[in-house]
Amino acid sequence: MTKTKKCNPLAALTTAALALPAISHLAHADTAPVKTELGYRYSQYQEDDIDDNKILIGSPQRYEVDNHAFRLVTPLNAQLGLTVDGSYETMSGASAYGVAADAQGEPKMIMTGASIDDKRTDVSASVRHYREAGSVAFALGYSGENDYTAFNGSIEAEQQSADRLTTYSGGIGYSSDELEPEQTPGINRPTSEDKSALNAFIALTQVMNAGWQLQGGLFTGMHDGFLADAYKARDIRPDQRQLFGVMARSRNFMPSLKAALHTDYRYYNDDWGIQSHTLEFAWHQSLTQQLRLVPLLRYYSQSQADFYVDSDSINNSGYQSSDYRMSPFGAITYGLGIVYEEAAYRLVANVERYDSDGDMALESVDQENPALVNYNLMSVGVDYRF
Amino acid sequence: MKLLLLPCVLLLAACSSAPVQPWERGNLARPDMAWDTDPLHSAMRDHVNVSKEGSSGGLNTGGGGCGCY
Amino acid sequence: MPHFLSHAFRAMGSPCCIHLYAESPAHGAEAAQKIEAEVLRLEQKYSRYRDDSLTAAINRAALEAGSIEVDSETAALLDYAHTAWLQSDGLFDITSGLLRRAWNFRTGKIPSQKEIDLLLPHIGWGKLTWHNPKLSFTRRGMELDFGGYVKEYGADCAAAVALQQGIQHGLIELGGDIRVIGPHPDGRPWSVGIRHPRIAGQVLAQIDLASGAIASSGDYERCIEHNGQRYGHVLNPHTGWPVQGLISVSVVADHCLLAGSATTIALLRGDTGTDWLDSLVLPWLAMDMHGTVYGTLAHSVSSADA
Repeated sequence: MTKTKKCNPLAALTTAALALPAISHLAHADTAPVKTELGYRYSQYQEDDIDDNKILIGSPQRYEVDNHAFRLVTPLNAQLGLTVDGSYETMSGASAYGVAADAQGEPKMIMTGASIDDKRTDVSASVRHYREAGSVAFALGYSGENDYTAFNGSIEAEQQSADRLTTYSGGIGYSSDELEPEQTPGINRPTSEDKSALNAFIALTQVMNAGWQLQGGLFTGMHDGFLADAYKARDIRPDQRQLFGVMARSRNFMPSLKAALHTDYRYYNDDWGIQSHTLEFAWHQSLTQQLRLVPLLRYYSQSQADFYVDSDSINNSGYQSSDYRMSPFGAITYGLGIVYEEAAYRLVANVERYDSDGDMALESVDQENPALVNYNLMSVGVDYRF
Repeated sequence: MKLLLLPCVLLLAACSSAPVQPWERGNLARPDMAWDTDPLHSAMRDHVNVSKEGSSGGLNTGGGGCGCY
Repeated sequence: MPHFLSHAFRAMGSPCCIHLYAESPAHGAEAAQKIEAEVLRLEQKYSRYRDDSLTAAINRAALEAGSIEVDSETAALLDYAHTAWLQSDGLFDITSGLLRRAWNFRTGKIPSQKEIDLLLPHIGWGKLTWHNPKLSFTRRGMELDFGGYVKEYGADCAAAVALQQGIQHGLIELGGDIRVIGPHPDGRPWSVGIRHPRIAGQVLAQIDLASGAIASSGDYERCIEHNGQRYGHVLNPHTGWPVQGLISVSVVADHCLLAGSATTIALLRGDTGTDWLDSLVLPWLAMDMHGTVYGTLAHSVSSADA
């Protein structure tokens, strides 16, 4: 057969077929759930101890978290789907109190002496209404810790184009948080602070062919109120933060390899001066009809906030923070997931390793923050459909 | 276009080892092609990343919560 | 324990059958009734034999070189026809139904070249203007016919209705084109026989399908034998004459619509049909006029014929 300028005929025909309601209904996952699904995940998060030579005062032991997460997805009727999420976690470990320069001028950590123990409970529910070529979802959520309470609500909507190959989506969410820091005698902490966050996004999803779709979008956020770390000795930040970001994602299925490549890129920028790039690849390799192996690689790099300081100083006036989250650094995540999927249930297990370092940042970093974290995250879970 | 469909044979067909799999809905609808293949796990991952890094946000409305481990 | 139910009916000029497993007899009966209603909906909408069909309305506009606006489902079907026309180098053409005026497979008369030449100027998808949602005919006397793919599309629609009704195990057969809703409840695939194009009642091949669809097409459906020459019903819209080459093609795909248009295009391509089928990377089976069997499913051919 002679080569023509046309692309693969199967891809072209499938793409055209996807515009037909009966076929797109099946091809697009975004239809009302038909079955009830229950999911559970147990996750364990463990930070590496801090090198002794980076600590001035306190314990090298850092955070560990045990998280139990539950999810219920169920149809309410032919057009309505309900999702309920709940999670319960316990955290323990020492937290950074601040960063001080040692005798040689090197920044060193000051850790809180006592181990902090906390519990967090998170519940949220969302109802999605499906119409012929789109859906609207409303969600409400609550999150509570000993020292923290947050309520949030959101609306999201999506609509397919007439040819069903393009999906427009957007959403807006609001969160109202209240912080009541635990008090430690002798340390002066705020007693009650508020903050709020307003987030919004718009996105466009395009089916390129039967095995490839792309998504691009913009997001923005406005955070207002007490945005500093109440547990740090000297952490003074602006009471507003505006952020803006761009995201591009691709899902590409390669039938000959029985593999799907997921690529996600995010650019982030805020008016505190932080810019970041996140690039993530996940390779979903089907080994059998049921078994899938998912290696993952993620790279992250951020620049520092304008008011970031290497070490705390009472001589500084104005905004300052020695929090490593405000410092310049880069990080790499390596992960491996395994999924075993049958019609009625799914078993999953994931392990992830996160390493962050000043040297991994895109721009060179003179002075690395001593508190940068390295962690392991592992999780196991099961989903059951009936 | 007349195929001979053999319902009796179908029902008694010797046990094949073909696995139970959800009906095909095209490659885009495969579970490994979802934008988020495991929402429960990604909620945990996102929560960790947001609390450990200086950036947040994406093409969703996100939840609340402190996330300051 | 799931209840098995088979329901037969006639639609689109063919025997149709639904096989499904339901939670209860009542659930099965309700689902079967809704599936049948969906197939009948498409028959009413796209039949060229009914005056009240959309096809009739389109063809009234075509008769006087007018234009007509269509709904989104029809628009998607026209877009699909356009894609198939492009991908088949103009061979898959929903304006070619006009050739039936010259070729009457019931009377068995071979038309003269002159009769065909009178029709050819009114045939050609490229001769009309399609700008979603408006279809405009610039010359009088053209005709549109969705018969070449609406039955296959109907099988996909029927499967979608079945899934909406909570049916997950079953199979839909519309005049020999098959769309699987899902495998047997224990996961076994459906076993589908492909009819031998020359030996009546014999199965050429048996294929296991747990999902997806299979469509078949061949010259055994309707043909004229004249002076030892077989004239099949698959007509080349460029020449107006039946194509020669393959006598039977079956294709397995995710959707019946795709499987059906792949078999049609392969037959239309004549001798190069098998090369084109190879390029699709879908499972297929074909037989040429010498009885030679080709295709990735050739190993499924019953041993008596292999």
